[in-house]
Amino acid sequence: MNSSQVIDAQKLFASSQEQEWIAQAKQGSQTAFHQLYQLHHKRIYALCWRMLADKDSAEDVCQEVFVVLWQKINNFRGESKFSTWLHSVASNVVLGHLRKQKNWLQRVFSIEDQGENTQALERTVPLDDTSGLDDLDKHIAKLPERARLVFVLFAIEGYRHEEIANMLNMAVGSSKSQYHRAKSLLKEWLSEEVQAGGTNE
Amino acid sequence: MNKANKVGQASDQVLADKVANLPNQLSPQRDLWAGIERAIQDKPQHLVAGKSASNSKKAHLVPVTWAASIVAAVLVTWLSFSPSVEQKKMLTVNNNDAKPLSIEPLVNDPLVAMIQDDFSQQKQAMLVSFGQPDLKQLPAKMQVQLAQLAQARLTIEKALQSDKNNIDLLNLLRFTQQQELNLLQQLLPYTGSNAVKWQTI
Repeated sequence: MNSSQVIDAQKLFASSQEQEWIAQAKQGSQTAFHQLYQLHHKRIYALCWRMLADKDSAEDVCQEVFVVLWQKINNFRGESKFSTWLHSVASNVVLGHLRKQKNWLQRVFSIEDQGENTQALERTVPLDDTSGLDDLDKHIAKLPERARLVFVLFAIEGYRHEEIANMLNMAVGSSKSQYHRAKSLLKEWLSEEVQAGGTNE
Repeated sequence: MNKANKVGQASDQVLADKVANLPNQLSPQRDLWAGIERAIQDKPQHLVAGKSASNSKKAHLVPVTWAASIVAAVLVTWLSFSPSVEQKKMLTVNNNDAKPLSIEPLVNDPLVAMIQDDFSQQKQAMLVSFGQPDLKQLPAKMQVQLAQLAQARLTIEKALQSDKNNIDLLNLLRFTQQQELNLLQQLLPYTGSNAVKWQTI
C-alpha cells in the first residue's frame, strides 16, 4: 500500500466520520455538534477575522455562526460539501452582523465609498490583534471594508463576482472594481514592505 | 511592455502566491465553545428546511389545525351516532361544577390514569382559585363549549380503552384537556373582584 492510498483512506474515514457527526447533530446531539465545531471552528474564525478585521468581533460572530449552524443544520442536505455550505452560512452571518453595526446614516447613504480614508480604518485594527498573523492578513485587515469583503470573498473564499454582488447588494462592476482596488492597495503595501526590508538590510 | 507593467505583473504573482499560502485556519484567543454551548441550550433546531419566517409560523399552525380538525371529527361522530344518556347528562351542567366535567378513570392504563389525574388536579385547582364559580351562571355558549369538550374527552378516553397505547389518541386527549383548561381560564373575569358581575350574568 502506497502513501497516497493511506491518505485517501484517511480522508475517506474523516469524511464518513463527519457525515456521522452531522447526522447525529441533526438529531440534537450536542456531543456530535461539538466535534463539528472542533473540526471547523478555526477555518470559520479565520473567515470571520478576515472579513471583520477585528479580533473581538470575529470571536463573537464565530460563536454566532455556530449557534446559527445548530439551528439550521437540518437545512444541510448534502448537495455540496459540508464545509462549503458552512462557509456560506458563515459569510451570511458575518454580513448580517456588519449590516446590524451600520448606523442609520450609513444605511441611508451608499457606503460604496466608505473607507476611502484608509488611515481611519487602520486605526480600527489594534496592532496587538495582528501580531501573530501572516503579513498579508495584516494588510487585508487594513483594507477599506468593501474592498476587504470583496477581496476575501473572491480571492480567498472563491465566490464569483455575481455571487458577491448579490451578497453585498452591489453591482457586479462594483464588486470587480473593489477587488481591483483591494489588489492595488495590497500590492502597494507589499512592495513598500519589500522596499522597507531592503532599506533596513 | 514598459517597466511599470512588468513590475505590476510581478506584484500580481507575488500577491497570488501570498494568497495561496495564507493559512486557512486561525485560532481564536478565547474558548468559544462555552458560549456556544450555553446559547444552543435555549435554541431549538429548525426542523423545516429553507422556510421563511411566515412559512415557519404556518408550519407551527399545521399541527394545531390538524388536532382541532380531529377533535371536530370526533365531536361530529359522537353527536351523530351516540346521543346517549351520558351525552344528555353532560349537556346538563350541574350545579356542582366538578361532577359533570370530572374525570372518572375509564382506562386502567397507568399513563392514561396519570394524564387524567394531572388534568383533574389542574382543573380543580383552577376552579378553586376562581372561588368555585357556579357554572350554571356561565353564558350559554360557553356552557355548550365546555360540554362539547367534555364529551370529546370522554369519547377519546373510551377509545383508549380498546387501544391504550395509541399515541395519537393520547395526544388528542391532552389537546382536548388543554382546550378545556383554556376555556375555563376565561372564567377569570367573572371571579374575585368581579364576583358581583359573575353573579349577575
